[in-house]
Amino acid sequence: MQRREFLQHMGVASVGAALLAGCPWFSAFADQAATIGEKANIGIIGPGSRGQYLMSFLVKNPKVNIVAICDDYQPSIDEALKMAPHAKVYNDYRKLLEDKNVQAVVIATPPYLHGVMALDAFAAGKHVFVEKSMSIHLNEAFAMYNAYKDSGKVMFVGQQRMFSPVYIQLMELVHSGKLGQIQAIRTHWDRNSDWRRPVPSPDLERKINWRLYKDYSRGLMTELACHQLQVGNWAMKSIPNQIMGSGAIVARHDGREVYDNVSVIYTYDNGVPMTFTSTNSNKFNGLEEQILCEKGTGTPEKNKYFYETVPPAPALLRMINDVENNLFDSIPFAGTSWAPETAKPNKGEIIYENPPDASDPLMLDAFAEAVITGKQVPRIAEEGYYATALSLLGHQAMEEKRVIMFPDEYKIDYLNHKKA
Amino acid sequence: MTTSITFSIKWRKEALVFLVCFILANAANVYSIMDYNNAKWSEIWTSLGYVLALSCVFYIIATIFRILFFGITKLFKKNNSIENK
Repeated sequence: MQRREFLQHMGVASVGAALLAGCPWFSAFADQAATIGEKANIGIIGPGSRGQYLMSFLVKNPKVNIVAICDDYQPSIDEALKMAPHAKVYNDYRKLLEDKNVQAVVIATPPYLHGVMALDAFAAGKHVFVEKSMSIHLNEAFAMYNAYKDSGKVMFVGQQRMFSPVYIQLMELVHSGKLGQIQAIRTHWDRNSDWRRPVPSPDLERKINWRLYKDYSRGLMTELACHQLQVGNWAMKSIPNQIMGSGAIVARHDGREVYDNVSVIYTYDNGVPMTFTSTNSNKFNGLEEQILCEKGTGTPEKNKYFYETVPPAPALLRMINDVENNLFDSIPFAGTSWAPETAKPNKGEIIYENPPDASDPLMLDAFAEAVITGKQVPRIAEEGYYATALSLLGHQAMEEKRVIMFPDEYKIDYLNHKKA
Repeated sequence: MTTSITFSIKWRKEALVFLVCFILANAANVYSIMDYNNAKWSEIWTSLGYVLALSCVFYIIATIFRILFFGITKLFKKNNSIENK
């Protein structure tokens, strides 16, 4: 399904009230007809692999002009210039921020740089799209959120699942109560890859393999957990306050500093737990966010939901099966006192037919609309902030090997949290 | 002429046997709907495919029995005619 079709289907073309009630960030598209012919002048800070991926969608949007790019790694600049040949090239992001032609910046650098760049961007009067996670320090992420509030500018955090029709539809199903009350949220992201990229020179090890070092990243927590924790909060309409976890380097003893195996439990105020587990050395379970409810379970990555009670087989088949069992089954000497409660096959239902391949384009289109109108859309900055905060607190809980309560000083006015 | 009449009579007989099997399968379906929990009366229609399959199974079983029956009776008749000679 194409983006335009999706927007029309979801009622965005006319900004459907039902969609806006559940996903108010779609209000970015409210003025899309009025902004035809207008352009958002965007500068890309960090056009590496992720930055180029985002650029590949931005260049297709007729409302976007990529007017500047900034990187200190020439191969990335060369690749980015292929997509935006007329963009002005900078090696220092502060020079890019001085460029009056730049209205907004997309920050796609490693996360340890997000904070300082975003803060400088707000100070320079730019709108900001910052990739998740917002930062690798909670105080910095909090400062970024406050800077955004004080600036009156637009801030988007790259939580693209918020723009996925599959997630939107599932959340509608969950929030309507059709699946019953949420009992638990289980998220996992398992891979069997070492995350290492080839390095042309040893001097570039930390620059290229920044995901593996604590000064640059929080590993699985900031790279992966961030996405899935946001889904949990979205489903729960709440922020968990208690965090505990365990992490270690189990398989990849290759000089990395970040854990390759983590298990974290977040507990919401009503006792519902949200777990995040991730390993870099086994991909059996892949990735999923299971929303376990009383009457059913949602698994958006598989685009399916499952009711707890599966409709029984036709009575005739059940009777034939019983007759067959009575005739041919061996009679046990003593019946088993315990039978394994393995999951029963359940085909489930499709959440959303023919979803688009990626939700990033829609998120970036929304950002472009917000830049043109200068209007921040509700909840997107808050969801991004809490996804970052929880991933960082999970890391802290593992590092300090203790149960952590969400610090009051880092709460903002959102959902069940009140600013201290 | 005689051959075609015999052939037609045989087909009618087989159709009758199959009809009996179909009625029996339907009766089994109705019984199971009444006997099993959470079964719906709409299964009379929705399970028609299974009913047809069960009818075929009944028909095959009936055919096996009929072959056995006729084989044995024919054998007895043959023995009797040998002894009478």
